[in-house]
Amino acid sequence: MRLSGSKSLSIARRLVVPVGQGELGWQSHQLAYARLVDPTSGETVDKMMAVFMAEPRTYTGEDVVEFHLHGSPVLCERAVRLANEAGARLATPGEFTQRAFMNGKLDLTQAEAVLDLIGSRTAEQARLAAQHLEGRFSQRVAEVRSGALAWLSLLEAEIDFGDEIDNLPAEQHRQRLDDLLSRIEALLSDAEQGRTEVTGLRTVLVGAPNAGKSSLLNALLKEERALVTPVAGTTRDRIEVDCRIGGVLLSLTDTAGLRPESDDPIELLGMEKTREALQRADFQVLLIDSHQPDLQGLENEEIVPALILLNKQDLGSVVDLQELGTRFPGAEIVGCELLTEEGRDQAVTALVATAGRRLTTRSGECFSLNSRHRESLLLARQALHAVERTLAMELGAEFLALDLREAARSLGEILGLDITEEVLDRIFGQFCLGK
Amino acid sequence: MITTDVIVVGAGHAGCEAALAAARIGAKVAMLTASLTHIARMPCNPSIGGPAKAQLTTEVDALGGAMGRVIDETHIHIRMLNTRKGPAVQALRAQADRPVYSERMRAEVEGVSGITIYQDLITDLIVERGRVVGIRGSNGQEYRANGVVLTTGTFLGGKLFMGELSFAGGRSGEPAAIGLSESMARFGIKMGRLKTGTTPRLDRDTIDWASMTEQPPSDQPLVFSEMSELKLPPRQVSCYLTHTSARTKQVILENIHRSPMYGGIIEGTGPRYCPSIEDKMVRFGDKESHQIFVEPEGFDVPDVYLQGVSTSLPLDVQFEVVRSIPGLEKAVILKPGYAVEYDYVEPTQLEPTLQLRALPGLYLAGQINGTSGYEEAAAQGLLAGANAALAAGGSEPLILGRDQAYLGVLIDDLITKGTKEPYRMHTSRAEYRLLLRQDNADQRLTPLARKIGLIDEARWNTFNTKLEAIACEHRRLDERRLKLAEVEQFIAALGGPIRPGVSFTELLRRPEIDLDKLRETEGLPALDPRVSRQVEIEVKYQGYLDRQRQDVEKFRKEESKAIPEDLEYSVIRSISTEGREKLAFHKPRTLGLASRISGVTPSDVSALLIYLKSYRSETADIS
Repeated sequence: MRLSGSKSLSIARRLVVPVGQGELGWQSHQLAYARLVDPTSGETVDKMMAVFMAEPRTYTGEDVVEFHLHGSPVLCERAVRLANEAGARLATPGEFTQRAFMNGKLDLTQAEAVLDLIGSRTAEQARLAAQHLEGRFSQRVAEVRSGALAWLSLLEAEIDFGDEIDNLPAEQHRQRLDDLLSRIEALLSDAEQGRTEVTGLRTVLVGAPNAGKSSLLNALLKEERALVTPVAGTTRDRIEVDCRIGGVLLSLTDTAGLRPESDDPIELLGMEKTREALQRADFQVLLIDSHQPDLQGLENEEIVPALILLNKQDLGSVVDLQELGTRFPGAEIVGCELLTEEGRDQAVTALVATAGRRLTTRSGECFSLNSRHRESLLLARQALHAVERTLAMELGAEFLALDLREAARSLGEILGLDITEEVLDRIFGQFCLGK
Repeated sequence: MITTDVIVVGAGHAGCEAALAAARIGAKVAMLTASLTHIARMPCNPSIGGPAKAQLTTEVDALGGAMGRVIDETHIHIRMLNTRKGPAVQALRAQADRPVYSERMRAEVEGVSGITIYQDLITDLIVERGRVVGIRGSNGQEYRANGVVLTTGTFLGGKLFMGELSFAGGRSGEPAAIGLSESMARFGIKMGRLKTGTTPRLDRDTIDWASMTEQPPSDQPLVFSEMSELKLPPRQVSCYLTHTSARTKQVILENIHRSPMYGGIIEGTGPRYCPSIEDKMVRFGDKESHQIFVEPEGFDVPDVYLQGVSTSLPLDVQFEVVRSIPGLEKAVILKPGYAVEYDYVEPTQLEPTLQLRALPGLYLAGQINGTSGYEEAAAQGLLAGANAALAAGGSEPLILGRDQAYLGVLIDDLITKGTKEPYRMHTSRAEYRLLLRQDNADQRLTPLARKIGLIDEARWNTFNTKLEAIACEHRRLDERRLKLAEVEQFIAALGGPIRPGVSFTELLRRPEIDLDKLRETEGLPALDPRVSRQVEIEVKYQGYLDRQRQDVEKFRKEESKAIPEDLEYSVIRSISTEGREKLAFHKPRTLGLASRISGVTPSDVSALLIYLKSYRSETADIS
């Protein structure tokens, strides 16, 4: 339990007494063996180590007292209640970090990383946030930014010292632009990779009604030893489940079957949800009843499956494989019988293998990006695309500089080098300010 | 004792515009100069304009100043730079007829009845109850006024260097202003020292012009001022281009120890953008040769300026250097180059009005603020003079933002960041460069200037006529659609596929179509080029201009967030120690201003913002 603020010590004095005789010295930054007592009854609640740390050399920059209690939830709860009665109040989420920032102990980027750590749900997320804090991501962003600034400075020199410096040839511009764009793409793809590691590969099972989607889902869940969090779908027609199979974290969505001729309002709503899920999916698995394939029914759907499972092989397949390959280029096509155990294993193995391939990274690095950083990267990319258009129009250096500067600014924003109020508003939305 | 409204000390480019602006607003002005004949001189390169500087010159003009009109009348060579780029960075540059420019500006100042010119040197400030109320002259003469504008140039503690020689002076052959710096320091004003230099002047009859590359003037009529008639001057001369040789480098490197800069005699910092020839050889030693521009200083004077050979080497070495340059093998030096070191006031002590925070009533402009260049000086002079006069009359001051003018950028940079080298304007300093063009300075500034009395009836009418013509043509182009019957004729004249019904604004947006051609095809006469240019720029670059206008909107929002004047920064511990000190010193009035102060980091700004938003009330509850 931690107390922070100017009254920390006076509150602690009421709750803590020495184990033996005499007075507790409360030397700053020195652990003391002591008893936590209920001041009204004088009863000893726990024997523990306590430490007082005088400002400013503390996490929050304020006076801090920490109680190292025995790890029982009942004990902790009682300690908190006692502190409460003695004049302390419960900290709001992230408040210690907020105070640390307000007192100049953390800069903005560090504060954000700490918030990410606190907010991380899983060990995987925490690891990625820590990696972020270490700065590999910042370093790569800084490299792209410095590439942009180097180019920008050449453009500026060309403008302000036009009679002394020759113009940069067009192919040089092209080269620099391509270099910056490909680095940003790589960052975004590594970030995407980081996201799937944290939240799972968004996997959507899709197909006509009765194609075998639910059988597959059940097969996956049966296989699955550690069910993470089953979440009820927002409609009865969609089920979302997180599961880890063969080292791959899947965030599974079983969808309502797609049946274009339906006019049942509930079914239509379900299909609308299916389409939404498809749009957000990282990995689409299309199930087809190979005995009664209804490919026409899928004609107007935007399905880009990475894996197609041809179910019910035992009933005799009438699927034209060539047509299927043309309709869904790049998809893996595997036949299976979900009714048999062997067929289910086969399907699950194929699914896990394809999912694993989708997770292969470009640089071997991955980051967990918060939405602010991701947005800044996207803005930088957008600005560079604007530079590309200007380049194609053969306009002068000052027009190229306009958007290039914007790209550099967006990248600088990630690094905390240029913070506008808009950005601050977004960041400090997390701190619950203004209460 | 002489009593007046505004005193202007100095009669250089800053001093002249200061006196003229103050007088236009209606103030009685006393102008002090060391010599009655030394007005608006050009001790360095006798040229006006170039990237960013041309924009400043047109801004001076748009604010009713004289520089643009005077250079239009007195140049010997003018051309447009960056013609392959867009309108925002195209820049006029003119070579002045040095003595004629000076005479013409002197006539301008002498022609104003509200200005009296005194030959005197300032020795001290008269300060009463913390306010500057006048100055003392060298013979004990007292001048009293509501406001004093100091434009001392390189004269403040000026010291000249040439090789082993050094002597006090503000310019070659002219005495320095001694004592004033000490007087300012006594009032707690922080001073610094800067250095600049100039090049040797050559006798034009001893130069082998034929062996150099000719740079002819433009064959198009070009002018800076909205009030100047757009016509070709009767006579112009060419400038020339040559370069240093291997021998040049050898001579300089062999004698580098005799340069006062490299001998450690000069303490002041010189400008990076205008390095001495010694600097170029030492710092860019791998470059084989450096460009040198050879520029005549007037129709009827023999001296020729050698741009790119600024030096403080001893005269015998200068002689060798000059003769090592192709085309100058037999050249005779009429006036050697020299370096000058001078005092400046750290400009972070200024308000956006150019008044010193610590000494109300005292305004500074030009090199005393750490800047370099005639155009930078003139623009500041105009603003300082106007503000001294406005304050004397009890009116609101003239303050320009970064989104309004290069002059706004310049002042904002100076007061928030200060400068360690002579500050020169570059277009890259202006975030809203596409909007701050030399061609639209009048639209940006003339209405503002009119409100405070800087614009006379004639200029105001000219401006409004132009504005109406622009609006009228825009309306016409928007409304006019191509008729079916016209399609063939337009394709024949303008080329490319053209659909009937297309608006003329759309047609004009095509890169290959200009307004003159479009009107000609319609059978209409060409418009005044000043009008058609504005219409074309607005239509052709609309996407980019709109983008910048959006940026300006955002900037203004940030700029308008006020910070309470009595804010106690020392209690905001989330701001770094340096940030707190800087903020407490500057007392910025807006969050935008605070964010630009050097030493104040984005983290500091965010902390300040949050403090202002919410934390203050919360801490009050706790304590």
